[in-house]
Amino acid sequence: MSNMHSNHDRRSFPTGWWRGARPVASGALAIGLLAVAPIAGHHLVGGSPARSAENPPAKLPAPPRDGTLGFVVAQFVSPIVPGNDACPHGTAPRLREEYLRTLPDAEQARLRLKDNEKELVSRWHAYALGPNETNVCSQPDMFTHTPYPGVESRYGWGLNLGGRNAAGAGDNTTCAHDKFQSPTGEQGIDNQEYRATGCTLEMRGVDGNGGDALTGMQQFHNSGQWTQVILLKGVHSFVHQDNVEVIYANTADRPILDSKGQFLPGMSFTVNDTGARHRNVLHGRIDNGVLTTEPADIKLAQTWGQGGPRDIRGNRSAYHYHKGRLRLEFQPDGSLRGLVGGYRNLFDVIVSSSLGGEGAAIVAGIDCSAEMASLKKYADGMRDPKTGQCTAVSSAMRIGAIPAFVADLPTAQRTASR
Amino acid sequence: MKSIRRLSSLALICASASLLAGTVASLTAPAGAQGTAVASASPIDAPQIVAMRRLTEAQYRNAIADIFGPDIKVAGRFEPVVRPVHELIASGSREAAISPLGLEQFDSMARNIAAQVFDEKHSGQFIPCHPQDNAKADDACATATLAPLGRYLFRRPLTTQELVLYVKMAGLAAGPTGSFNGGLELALSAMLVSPNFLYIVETAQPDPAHPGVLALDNYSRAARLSFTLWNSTPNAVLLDAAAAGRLTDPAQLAEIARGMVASPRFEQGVRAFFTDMLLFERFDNLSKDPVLFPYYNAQVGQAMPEQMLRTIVDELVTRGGDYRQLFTTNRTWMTRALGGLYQVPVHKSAGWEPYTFAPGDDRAGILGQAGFLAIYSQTGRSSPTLRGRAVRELLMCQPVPNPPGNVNFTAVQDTKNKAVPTARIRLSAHVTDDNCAGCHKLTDPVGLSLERFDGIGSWRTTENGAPIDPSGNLDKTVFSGAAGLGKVLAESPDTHQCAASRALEYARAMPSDDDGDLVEALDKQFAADGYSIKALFLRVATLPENYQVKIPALQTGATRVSMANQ
Amino acid sequence: MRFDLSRRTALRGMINGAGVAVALPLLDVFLDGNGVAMAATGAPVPVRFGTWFWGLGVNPSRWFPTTAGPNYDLKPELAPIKPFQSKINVLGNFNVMLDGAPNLPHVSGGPAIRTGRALTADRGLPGESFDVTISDLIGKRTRFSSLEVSAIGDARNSLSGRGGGDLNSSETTPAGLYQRVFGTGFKDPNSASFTPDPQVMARRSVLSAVADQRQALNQAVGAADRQKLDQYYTSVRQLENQLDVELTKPQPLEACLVPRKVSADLPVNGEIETVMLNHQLMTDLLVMALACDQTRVFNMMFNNGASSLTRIGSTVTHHQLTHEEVLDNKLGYQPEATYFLTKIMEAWVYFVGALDKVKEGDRTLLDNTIAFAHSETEFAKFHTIDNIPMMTAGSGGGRIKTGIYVDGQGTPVSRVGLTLQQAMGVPVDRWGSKSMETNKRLGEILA
Repeated sequence: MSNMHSNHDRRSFPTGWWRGARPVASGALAIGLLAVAPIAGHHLVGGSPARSAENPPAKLPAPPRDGTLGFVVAQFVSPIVPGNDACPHGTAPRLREEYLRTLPDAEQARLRLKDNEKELVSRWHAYALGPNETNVCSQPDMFTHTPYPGVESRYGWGLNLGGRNAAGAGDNTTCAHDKFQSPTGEQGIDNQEYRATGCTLEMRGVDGNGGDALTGMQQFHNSGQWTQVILLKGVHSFVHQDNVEVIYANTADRPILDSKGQFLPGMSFTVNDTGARHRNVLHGRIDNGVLTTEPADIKLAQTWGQGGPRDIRGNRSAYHYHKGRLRLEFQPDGSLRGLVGGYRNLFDVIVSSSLGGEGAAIVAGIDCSAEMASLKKYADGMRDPKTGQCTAVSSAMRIGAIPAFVADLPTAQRTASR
Repeated sequence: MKSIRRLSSLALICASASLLAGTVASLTAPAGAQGTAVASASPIDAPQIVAMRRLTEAQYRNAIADIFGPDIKVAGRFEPVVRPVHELIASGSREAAISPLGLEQFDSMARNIAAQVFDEKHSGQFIPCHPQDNAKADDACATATLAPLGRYLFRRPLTTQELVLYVKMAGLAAGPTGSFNGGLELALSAMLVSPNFLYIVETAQPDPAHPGVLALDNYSRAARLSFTLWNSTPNAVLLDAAAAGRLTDPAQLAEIARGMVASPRFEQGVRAFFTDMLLFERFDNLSKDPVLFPYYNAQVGQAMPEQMLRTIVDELVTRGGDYRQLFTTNRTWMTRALGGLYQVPVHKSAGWEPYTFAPGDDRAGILGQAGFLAIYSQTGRSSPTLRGRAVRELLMCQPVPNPPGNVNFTAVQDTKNKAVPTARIRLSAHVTDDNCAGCHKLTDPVGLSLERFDGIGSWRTTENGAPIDPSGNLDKTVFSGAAGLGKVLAESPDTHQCAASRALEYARAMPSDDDGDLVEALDKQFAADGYSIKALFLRVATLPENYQVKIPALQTGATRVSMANQ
Repeated sequence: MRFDLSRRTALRGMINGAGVAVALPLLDVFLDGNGVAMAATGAPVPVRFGTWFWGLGVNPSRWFPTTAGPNYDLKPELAPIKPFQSKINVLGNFNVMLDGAPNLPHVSGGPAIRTGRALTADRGLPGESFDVTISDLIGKRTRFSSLEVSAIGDARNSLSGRGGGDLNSSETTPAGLYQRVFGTGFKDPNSASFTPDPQVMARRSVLSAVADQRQALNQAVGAADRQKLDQYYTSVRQLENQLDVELTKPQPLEACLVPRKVSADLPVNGEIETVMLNHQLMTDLLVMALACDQTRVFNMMFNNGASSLTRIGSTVTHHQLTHEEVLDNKLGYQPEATYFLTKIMEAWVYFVGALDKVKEGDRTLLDNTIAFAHSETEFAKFHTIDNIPMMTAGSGGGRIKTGIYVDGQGTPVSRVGLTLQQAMGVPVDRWGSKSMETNKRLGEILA
């Protein structure tokens, strides 16, 4: 079991990024949330995920005696850059509105009359539904809706996944795309998932500062259904350290939260790699207080509630990052902050809405087909050599991890690690 | 006999009426009436009731589980037995009355239990015969069913009158309910609300060998052994031994007691003793400010007393250790929830696992455990005074007086004032008042050594940014931290003598204040036995004085026991 | 039926109301277990219990008070209760622990509150709902052990039952409710004859048997123990007297006025205006059913969990709005969805007011009732099931204190069910299962 390292005042942890967040005992899967996409801006988290050269690490605690550090991930959300610059034309329309926009102006005006409400409803529903009980969310590929608008600003959070190809020109594994720069000045950031989905209402919110997806994402995380732990081995210096082993894994242990629903530091968790849970073994190095791992497949549990036998919910999906990597900064208070990035299969991005199916479309008004079209448009990774098409989007998640005791699996119990 | 009953019934009504009306209650009035009726037939050396101890909630539950099996649920609220100041709840059980609300609860629990016992699922275990007609009364079968149950419940055979009454009741109720079992149910309910069940009725008679002293009879001894060592009602073996008169024979009594402390059930007795001695009822209403103490939650609240009891049982029973180690041991037990409070790793996702603190850790003994530290704290802060007082009173049997009623506590409660950052500073301001200083000198220097544990027992080294000084003193001995305090306690003769005194009080349900010589002798034996808790309880259980009752000066009303045929 | 209630009964010449016949001092006899005076009629006024459910929660920051304790602050969405604040408790910050069971949206929260258990099937109840437990205790002697009503007109709209799929189905129309309670089979309680409860008679005889043992004990005890015995037998007598009162024909129910027949032509649908009207009519009928002692337990469902309430001319449901309507970060809530919440609170206040209008002695029917209102989610958009809004109205004849905001501080919601059962006299000291098993009652409100 790893040890925690410092004698800091544990109560000072900014363990919650959203003060209003309350604990959810189990994953609360809102139909409307199926379009779960995170928002979360740095303004909520505080601090930059990247430590630039001009910004040397603040005073860090002494490295652990045995070189081992354990953490539990307390924050796991999509990063957005808040504000209205990203989406100058507003957020993506709801299905109803989207349908109206496909019509001539006069017809739109006619249908918007109160007396014609019933007709409008049946027509926009028809727009969301296909033959044989299909719908835009369950079978997004069967519909050819206009792509959602993408993020137009040049600011975004994420990692540079194509190091040599700093301009995003595309090569034999990637497709050409515009790179982002971080609000703190870091260049060459790949995050086409944000490009494609950052203007949805779920991500952006009405005021541009973040939508429901962000809140929902964190609530799912707090519910303990996909709790993640990080175990570092071989850390003897925070200034420079090669060969750090990073175990980034799920645990079946639900976190004990405080009365406000925040994770508590110093709790114990046991790594679990069975069922839908995963144990990723990564390798990295520490430079100047920043841990970076080598690209590798990273797979993490993503359960959308635990449904009954007749329910769509359950252990249906995963966070799967192709060529995924971590970049995490050690904080003076003993916590870790940073990003996990990599390429995600396009469908994975909308899997939550897709599972919601007709409900996501009709009740929440989400057009999965338009979202899928947008993802295809901006896809930049995992290029299919035969078609030349990219099948994945670059992506990033913001991570905040706090000290924890992590009991790794005994060697004998580890199931074959991917 | 009938006329006597009439008379007493009337007397009862009068008595109740006068009590209710609030006129001077002449408590002896009904007794006087009865006294006239029966006095002539009462030889002075007949057995008499010398104590009625109300069952505690745990004893009631254990008794029901032992008699009817653990799947019979006991659901209800128990009127608590009130703890007399500086005494054990066991002593309080002698004084405990049953209020109307308390009786309502016992009545509803009784009906509930009786309904379960005679339901389809369970009745087969308790009815040893087949009634002639399931829908009708059957006195023979009711007798066969109720007599053995009554013996367990009343901890002695039912008297003939009692048995006749309950069988008659079962018979009368079988008709209207249309069920033999329904009748039994009613009779069992009646037994369960009887004072003979709710109270442990102890009877004694003059001991020819010791003039002026009454000796407990066999059945009372069985109950005393059982409740002291196992915290439950006597089982068949004990009742048989009582019936055979073996428990008034010292050698046979000792043999039985030895078997009882060697039994796994002794753990239940030890848990009950320490639950009483350490005032664990405080856990029932434990409340902590969740903002100040985020590591406190319901799971932690439940685990706290259990952690202490596991430590106690492990050290004293499982390992057969020295009582004094309770204050110095670095071994304990953890759950995941507690692990957060202690900031230590816990490997198992669920349940308990043993944990040993590193050498030099200040978590020494039960004084360094969250449970002790939390119940002797306030809702939002630690309390060196409460902790010091608990050490003195509970562990050393040194009573500390209550504060006067008009004290201004503002200075102590002002925990956010940077000018007075630590409890030590706040208390020293408070103690400049001479009225307070006398007592605070007894308590605070002890409790201040535990200040590195906050209001829920989490470790800290500073308060409001100021370093905490954990030095303390107990009378003239100076020490530092919980480990220092534990060592001093382990070395103090008052500590083990207090345990010996409490064990005696626990068994006899009365304080040992007037038995200084007896306690001293017991303490010497405790030392000779290497401060083994098993040995201590065995000594108490076999102590002749445990079964002797001094005849009080006035014995006017009490004359004769009517539940004779034992 | 005949029980030989004991010689002492005969002695007192019991015909009706033995307690009075023997002229015992009335002081304690006419106090119930909690020391609350019975109404002037001399008979105990029945204490009622009921639930009032609404779906889709609240906007937490606009509904829950900030400060715990009496005189709590009223946020905009809770403000309508102001006239009755002193009789209403607000319960917040209690958690539903599912222990890994699914959080089925709009389904898991309600049953957890009612049963103290996590729902593992995707329908029904995971155990007996505590309103049923209470009705087993106080509802046996009335014509209906409980009445279930759905203002939105859905018979399956119910959270009351013995567990599994067995739900007590709801009355769906005002006319149906009228017919059931006041139609055929209705006997005016003020003219009906009286049959003593055999159960009470049985209990009475148990106590007599206990009392008979007094003499045997008394003969052998010393003075200290005799005092204790005296107290014990005083308690026995008090309990006997309580039962004697129950075995006596009750006084007329002054508040009982048989209502007029309700039209069968009223529409039943999800339009909020219709539901408000039907709720009002059904509340009035329910109140009279209580005043006429036809039932002592009720369950009123205002709307359903995934609320199908709509506004006239709109096809968008309340439920749809909570998900589709985006949270306005400036306002901090969803204005369209919140419209329905405003109506729901209005209906709740009507309900409380209707109970409070009926006088029973110097109290009101509300005072003799505990009405427990709750939802099934905290904030519907995210289906959160911790901090589900709950209230109680009325003191149940002084059994609970009122006018208090209780902050549960994240403790299990089952504490509420436990406390209400105990207040209603259910002998239960521990309730709920797994993480929701609790023996911690709400000391703040339990009188």
